[in-house]
Amino acid sequence: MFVPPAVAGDHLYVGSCAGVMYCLDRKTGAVKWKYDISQDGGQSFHGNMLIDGDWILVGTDVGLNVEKGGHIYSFNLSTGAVRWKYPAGKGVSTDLLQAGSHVFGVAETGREETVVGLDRNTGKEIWKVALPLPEGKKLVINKSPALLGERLYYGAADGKLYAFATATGEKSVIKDFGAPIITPIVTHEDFLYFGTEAGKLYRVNQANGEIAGEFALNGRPYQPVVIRASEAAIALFVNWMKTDGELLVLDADLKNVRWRAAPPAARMWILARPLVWKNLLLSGTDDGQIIGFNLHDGKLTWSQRLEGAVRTFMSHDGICYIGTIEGKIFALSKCE
Amino acid sequence: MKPSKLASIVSMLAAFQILTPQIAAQTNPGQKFLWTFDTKG
Repeated sequence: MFVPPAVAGDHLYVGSCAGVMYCLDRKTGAVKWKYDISQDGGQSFHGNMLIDGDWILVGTDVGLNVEKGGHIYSFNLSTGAVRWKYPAGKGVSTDLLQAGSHVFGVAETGREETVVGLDRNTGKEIWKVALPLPEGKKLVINKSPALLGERLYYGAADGKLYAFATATGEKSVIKDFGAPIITPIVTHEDFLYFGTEAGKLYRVNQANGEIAGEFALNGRPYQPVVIRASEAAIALFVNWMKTDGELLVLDADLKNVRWRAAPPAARMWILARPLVWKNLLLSGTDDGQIIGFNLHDGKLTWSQRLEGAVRTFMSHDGICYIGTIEGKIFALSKCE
Repeated sequence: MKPSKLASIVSMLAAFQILTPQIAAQTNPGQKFLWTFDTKG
């Protein structure tokens, strides 16, 4: 598993790396319905799902040597019936974002990363813009765009930060950063945050494109997240899935390191992204530990151990749902 | 008892056996594993 489950009502929605979408009873784990995406050529789920009324929208993708079969789906929450599916080449591994009647994602299509806007009720393509992948570069999994106001922002493998009008897809280049942008964009106040292959984390003013902060990392950035707007902090992994990796927390202006945490000796951080839960920042290891650090000082405050390599976490109504690379979901009680 | 119900109980018992050693190591003994589900990927 790569994607945290989503909850709607009494049900848990899970997209597995074995290519099956499940609806489970969230209190018992009983299967209510499932949909095997291999019937459409898909293989896996890597982007966060979007609950939209009675529907759940999710992107799917395929393996390295397959050119098509990925889709964006809209499933009925109760029955699993497919309302629509949008063919998306190698697929969509990004989170899906919603603004008004549109839903947005980024597809890998041949040698391009293609930003698409669809009607969320019909799956009809409203606009799409293809950005050629530079020679030798490939699309990074789960590199999501971000919405701010009426613009969709995306950091491309060509090193440019792009903005798209959500209504029309009209494209503008905010700035060229000279190295492939390899992380999702996240937003805090009027600023965009992202990392590049050159090991830099940037803070960019969305209004004028000026660099308002930058931080040189000790390696490759992965999955920055905003730790609640009120905390004014950014967390990310550096050298994710490596034994020399770390979980790093910076002030939102990128001037100071608040704290950093290495994984346990000889282990790796492998949680799909740092996650905020209560007053904790969570990470997970390849030997079955999920660890919660105090948001403010990085003190190890909570942990759990289970079988497998911890990839996902989600909490709802006193139950924690922890997913592993091997594909198991563990439901943990008294998780308030 | 329906076969599906029996399978569910067997699955829960199997999960309990797997998890027992790990539960001893957890830092929050009040928390319990309710169920587990294997998506096989």
